[in-house]
Amino acid sequence: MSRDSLAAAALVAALLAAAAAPTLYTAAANGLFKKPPRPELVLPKGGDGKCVEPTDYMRANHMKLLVNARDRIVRGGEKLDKYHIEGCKNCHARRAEFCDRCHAYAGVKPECFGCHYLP
Amino acid sequence: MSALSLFYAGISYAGAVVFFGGLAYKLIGYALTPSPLKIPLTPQPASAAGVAWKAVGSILSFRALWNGDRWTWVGGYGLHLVLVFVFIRHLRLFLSPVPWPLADVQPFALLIGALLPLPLVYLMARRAAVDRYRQISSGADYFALALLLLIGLSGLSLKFLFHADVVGIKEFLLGLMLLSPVEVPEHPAFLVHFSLVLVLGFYFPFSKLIHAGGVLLSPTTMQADDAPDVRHVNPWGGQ
Amino acid sequence: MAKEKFEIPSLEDALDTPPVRKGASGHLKIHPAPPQMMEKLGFPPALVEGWQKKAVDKLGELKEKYKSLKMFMEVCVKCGSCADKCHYFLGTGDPNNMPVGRQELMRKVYRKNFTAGGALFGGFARAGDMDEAALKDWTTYFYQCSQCRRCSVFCPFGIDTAEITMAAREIMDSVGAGHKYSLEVIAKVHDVGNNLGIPKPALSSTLEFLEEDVKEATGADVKFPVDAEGAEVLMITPSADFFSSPHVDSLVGYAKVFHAAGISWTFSSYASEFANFGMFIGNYAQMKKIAERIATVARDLGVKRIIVGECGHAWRVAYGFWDTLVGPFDTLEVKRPVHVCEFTNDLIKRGALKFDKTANDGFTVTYHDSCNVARASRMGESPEGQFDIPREVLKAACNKYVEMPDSVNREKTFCCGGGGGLLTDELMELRVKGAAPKTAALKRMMDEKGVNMMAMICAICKAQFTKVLPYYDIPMEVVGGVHQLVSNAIILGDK
Repeated sequence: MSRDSLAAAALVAALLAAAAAPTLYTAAANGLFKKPPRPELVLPKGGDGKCVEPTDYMRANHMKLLVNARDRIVRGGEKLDKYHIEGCKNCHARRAEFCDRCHAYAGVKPECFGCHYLP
Repeated sequence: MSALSLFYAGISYAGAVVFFGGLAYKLIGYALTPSPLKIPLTPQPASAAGVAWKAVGSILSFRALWNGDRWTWVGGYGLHLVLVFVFIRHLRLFLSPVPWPLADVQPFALLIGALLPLPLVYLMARRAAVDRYRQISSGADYFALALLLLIGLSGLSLKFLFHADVVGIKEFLLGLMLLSPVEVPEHPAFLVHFSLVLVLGFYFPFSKLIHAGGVLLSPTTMQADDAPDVRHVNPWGGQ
Repeated sequence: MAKEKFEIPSLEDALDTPPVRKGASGHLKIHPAPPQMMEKLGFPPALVEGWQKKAVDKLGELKEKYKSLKMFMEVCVKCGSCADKCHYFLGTGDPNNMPVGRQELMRKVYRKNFTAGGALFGGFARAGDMDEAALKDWTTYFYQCSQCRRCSVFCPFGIDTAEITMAAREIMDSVGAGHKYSLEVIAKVHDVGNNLGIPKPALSSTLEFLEEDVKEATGADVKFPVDAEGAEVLMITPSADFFSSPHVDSLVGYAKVFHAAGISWTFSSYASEFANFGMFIGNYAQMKKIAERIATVARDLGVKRIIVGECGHAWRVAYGFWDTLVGPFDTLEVKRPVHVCEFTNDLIKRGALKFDKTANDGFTVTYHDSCNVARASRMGESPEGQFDIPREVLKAACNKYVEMPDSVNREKTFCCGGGGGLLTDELMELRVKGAAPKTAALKRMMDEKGVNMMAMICAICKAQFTKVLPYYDIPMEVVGGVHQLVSNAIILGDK
């Protein structure tokens, strides 16, 4: 094989290694053939197990409710209701044990906590 | 596991094998095909390091296209730049734990990544509007752009229209990567988006999209201009 | 010129992108090579039985032998950057003369036969069979490419249409469809030693005549030796230099430089040709066989180095390919060929040559970069030596030198319109139209800067421009060689 071909083959190997890097990283951190990691949430103890909306809806859309509530209540002056973030605190008391778990898992850094320091 | 989940697990693995295997097959094939003669496009550096440095500059700037057609450069460079941010935007779904500073750059990556439809529509319009480009464009050329456009629009709908549970999606993707598949999220927009990405994966290595790898192996731009100093032997030249 | 049967392009807008005119140069045909000529070079005498399949098989063979061909067939995204960079497209507007259009003529067949997409979705992917229509396009448009590599400069992937054209011609030759001009020239090299078919007696008498001529003009005993054993330098030059005008004036220049420097040198009657048309037809074996004559003579005469004359594609072959084709040149002291411009420039830098620059004061000189020198080779050590060294030689010999505009200069230079095996009368319309972009730049230089001499270092460029410039009402006398101007101004010592 010529020098030229060897150099090209080395380049291709480097490229493929780069393409495989995310898989290798995640496999090394979590182990192959193991159930994929998922966020472990500490659910509210005192509550009745019912949030303001069904769980599936909350998973996908809680941020919309929060933004909507902010616009209506904080900016629009409407009366405080169950959708306001202050209401969330009643059940989800510890941000680190609930909110942060999924946010860290999915790489999401919401703007909420720039202002709202939950306990 | 549901039939849908089984189907998606199967087709995802097939897609990954075809995409990565196809990429390796094509690129190794290029690398091992002989160069009987040295054909660097001059002026060209005489050293491998010089060529590599020049190639980095060319790839980061799309220099040849800039010199060739500024209006196409705007679309082509824009498209590839946006794709970089789309990639950054998606990387968090494949890495667990999410490494620093990937989470911090998401808002900015979204801002740029969300522009994806613009260059695609622009490039399609350019193909249709300029007589030279109309002449050379085939169905396959529009298909590549249209496929990316549909992937982009369905992806954006997951953020802005039919918001999906990103935690469930990530769990599904990690399951595939760790060879321990779990149920696929039954979110229609996600299934459309994911299916189109699989189509892209099957299509990529065997289409003109292979230019992504080919650009690094092109003999004219990647050979050093070292003919006077380094002997080059043609493997089939019968010395 | 009055009797041309075609429209001469206007030089006003010859550098602008024209509208696409389908089939505008489809009527320009080559003369096919006669059967005995095909057979002489080892090709089938006429179109073979089952040529459709044989052509596809040949394409399949070549794509595994040439990385360039395989990659260039597969990685084009059809961005269109090259579309208006070809002088033949600018001159004709024919979409098959857009570099990507020309490449597509082969890609159609490639896709159909070597890609899944093309085989499954023919029309959608624009895949097509190798059939009568395809062959007609190939024999037309692969002889409307001068392999100048200008398109490649503007391609993000460096796709070089020259590589594709060479492969196409090789495929056509292999199934029995050859071009008379190139094959005729190659046959003459094998028979006589040079493209023009000049036998040794004619060569010797020409050189004797030149000696007398120079003696009469300068009083100096400048020699033009042939087959001189023990010479230090073997001079290889395109055979046009021996007979054509203005080529021969540069040949006189080479001899004067050797004379002034006091270096012993010789031509060879066996290897009296620098050009290598094996490259134009993309045939490795022919290219090698032609180059072998030179390597053989260099060894037999025992010279210390080979210096080569003003020729573009041949410099590419010598600089880039000789060592691979017929090297290594172990018997030489300088193992790589030296371009006569490098040689002269070194002597100038060392103060070994003296010039009376006023001898060229009648000329305002500009320089035409020839494509194969500019984009396929180098001179000296610097990566841009192929641009700088000829210019330095010109500036040493002339007082009035001006540059062409950047858009047509150095690696962006336009082909003269006659390179790549197209310097033949049946393609005169193509040659005139293909010359339009560079001629437009020249005309501007003539009108604005008073240029009356365009110097160059390529035998094909010289022959082409002297022939086509009169179509644009520009006198052929503006065409000259770099060493022609050296010849005018060099002061000959008493060596």
